[in-house]
Amino acid sequence: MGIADGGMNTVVCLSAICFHKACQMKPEDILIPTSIASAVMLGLLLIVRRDWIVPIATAAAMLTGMYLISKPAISYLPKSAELWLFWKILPICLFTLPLLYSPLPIRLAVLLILSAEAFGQIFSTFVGRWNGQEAILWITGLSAGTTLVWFALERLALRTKDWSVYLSLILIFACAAGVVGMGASSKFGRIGGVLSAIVLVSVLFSLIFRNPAFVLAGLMSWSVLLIILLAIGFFLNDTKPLHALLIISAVGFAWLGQLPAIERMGGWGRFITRMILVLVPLGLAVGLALPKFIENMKGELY
Amino acid sequence: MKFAQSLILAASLILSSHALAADNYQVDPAHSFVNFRVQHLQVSYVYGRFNEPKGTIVLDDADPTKSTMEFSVQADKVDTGNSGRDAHLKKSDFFSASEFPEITFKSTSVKQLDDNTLEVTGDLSLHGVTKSITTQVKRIGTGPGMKGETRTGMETMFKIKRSDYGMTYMVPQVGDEVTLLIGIEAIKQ
Repeated sequence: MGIADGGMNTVVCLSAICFHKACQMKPEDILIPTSIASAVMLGLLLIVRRDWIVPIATAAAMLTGMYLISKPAISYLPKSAELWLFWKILPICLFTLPLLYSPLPIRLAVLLILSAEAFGQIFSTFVGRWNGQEAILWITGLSAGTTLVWFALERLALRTKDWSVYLSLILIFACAAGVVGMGASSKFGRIGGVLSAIVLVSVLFSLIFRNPAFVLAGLMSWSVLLIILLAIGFFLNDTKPLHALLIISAVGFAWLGQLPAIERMGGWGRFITRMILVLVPLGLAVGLALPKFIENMKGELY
Repeated sequence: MKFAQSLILAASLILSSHALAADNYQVDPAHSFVNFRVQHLQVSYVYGRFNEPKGTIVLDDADPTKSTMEFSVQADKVDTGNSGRDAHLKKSDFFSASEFPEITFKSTSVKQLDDNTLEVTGDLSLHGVTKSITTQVKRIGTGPGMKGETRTGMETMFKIKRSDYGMTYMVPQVGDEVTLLIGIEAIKQ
């Protein structure tokens, strides 16, 4: 497991460095915020070593990372989706805390309400322009989608015994960040990068201490933040709905890995099949977003 | 005799008040320009503009303090001569035009500095942030247009910091200080 962890970490670090180089970013653009946010996450996990610290650590790490990415902008009262997201990180994460030990129906209901409230605020600049029906449809749809994603991820994590589910999680969040970033929003892409780093740290911590609770406890807040980032990418930037849907569908594809035929496979065969299933929609999403991004990067815009 | 004098006095009062009444103007988008420049990599400038500005001006020559000015441009009309860059400028890294479609200026006070110069203070709303700015507006001239209408023109130049308006992306590669050069031609209504 140690070698596997090291390998996975190396792959993620190399990917981050390649992305960093490809986008001609400076260390303070992504490497420093991501590293500091990861350190905050890891520090809190190491100090407390209880599952309830995960949402708190997520909030602290996300706030740190987002502050480092869009520092001066947060001095204003929330008027934009970006500032609303910043102010909402804390309630999103902390409200999930009591839910960790609540019965499933209560968790589902509260998460639905929590998501609806967060989406309503974050997209308040749009709500005025949507008619009532549109606003209800969008906010209900996004909240229901978030709840469904969380539910699917949690059931999957509880059910799957090998660590394909952990790797799938990291890939889903990393690809979401990439797709949002390639959709003409470097800022939200980098914020997604911070979220991916938080997931990575929790997953590694969970694997090292052989306790899935460190992942399960973060899934609710991570799911809300993931859908918010994809929705911001779609509403404010150039993230195509197909790309966002492909990212989300990876959760469904991960469930296909639970089919009895795949379940019956041997250890590595099952693991590789499950990873291929998740990589198909993710690869498609990244592959479809990439050409336009490369074209823009060639353009010497700045 | 007294009646005739009163009549003349009343008529002259009406005429003079008409002559002194404030004039309403509508901004002519075809002859008005909202240009800006911003440093690029601290070695040169990138120039751009917002096409099709709109607005109304009330000019009171008798009492310039009663003059008012309102201008607006659409954030998605930004034009720097590069379609890829313009597309990015409209997104949330910069203007976030979906969230904040309009950039507006509304005067709050006008003072006459000399025959051709006004000092205009007003609220500039950009990227969801409203800040008061003061600029000197030079009146270029007033005269007849091609169709006999009355036109007036003015120009101003001022600087803002985009970070004051929450636009912090790519500072300092793309400079924080933005110089705006605005030329307005308006038609009397």
